[in-house]
Amino acid sequence: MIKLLIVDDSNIIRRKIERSVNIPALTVVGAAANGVEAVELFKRHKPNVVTMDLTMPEMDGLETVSALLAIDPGTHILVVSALADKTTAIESIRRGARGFICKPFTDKELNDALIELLEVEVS
Amino acid sequence: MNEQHLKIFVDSATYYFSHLSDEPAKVQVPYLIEHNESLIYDYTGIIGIAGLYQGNVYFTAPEGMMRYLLTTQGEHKHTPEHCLDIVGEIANTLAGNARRDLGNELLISVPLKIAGKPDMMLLAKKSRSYAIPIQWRFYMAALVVSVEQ
Repeated sequence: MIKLLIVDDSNIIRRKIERSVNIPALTVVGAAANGVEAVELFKRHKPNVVTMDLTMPEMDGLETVSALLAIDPGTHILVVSALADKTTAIESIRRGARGFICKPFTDKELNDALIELLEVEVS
Repeated sequence: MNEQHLKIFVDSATYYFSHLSDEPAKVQVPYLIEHNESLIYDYTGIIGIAGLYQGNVYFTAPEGMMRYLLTTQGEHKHTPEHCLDIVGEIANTLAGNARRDLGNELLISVPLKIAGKPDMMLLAKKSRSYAIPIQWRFYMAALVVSVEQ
C-alpha cells in the first residue's frame, strides 16, 4: 500500500483530491489544512506521497516541502498550486518536490501526475 | 494597470471556468468602477496583492452560482462554510494563475472570505479599479481588479 497525505487549506480541494484519486495502490491516510498540521500528520502516518498546496496560512507550502523532506528525503511530493509562474514551479522542484500541477485541475490531470510520480519510484 | 494586465485577469477567469466545466463562462467587457461604488454578491473572496504590484483582487458571486460550482466539483454539501471555501479558492486560483504572465513578483495573500456585504471598502484607494463581469450558466459574478504597479 502506498500512503498519500493531502495538504491544502481548502476543505473543498482536500475532499476533491480524495475523491479524484483513482489509483488502486494509493490510500489516503490524512488531510492537513496547513504546513504545521501537515508535519504533525506526516510524522504520525509516514506517507510515501504528499499533494502540497503552496499558499496556506501558518506555514506555506514551500516551507512545508523542506520540512517534510528533512524528516524523510524519500517522500514523493506533488505540488498542486494556483501559482502558475515558472519560477514557483522551479523553486518547488529545487526544494525537492517531484512534480507540479496547476489549479484548476481535472481528475485526469491529477491522476496522471500521481501515476508519473509513482512510475518514477518504481523504475 | 493597463489593458494588457487586465487581459491577463480576463484570460485567467475564462480559463478557470472552461477548465472546470463543459460550459465556458462568458467574460464581458471590463469597466472602470469608482472607489465609492460597491460590486458585491452573496460571497466574496479577496486576495491582497503585494510586491511589485499593490492592491487587491476580489471575486464575488451569488449563492446559486457557488452551489452549482460545488456540485460540479462533486461536493454535495452546500453550507455557507462550503460556499465561503469555494469563493476563496476561486479568488486564489484566478490571482495565482495571473502569475503565469505577471511573474512571481505578484505576491498574493491567502484569501479573506466574506459572506454578505462587508463593512470595509474593498477597492484599493490608490488604484484604478476594474470590474470584469463573468456570466456562467444562469449566474452573473465579477472579478474586481484593483492593482497598481
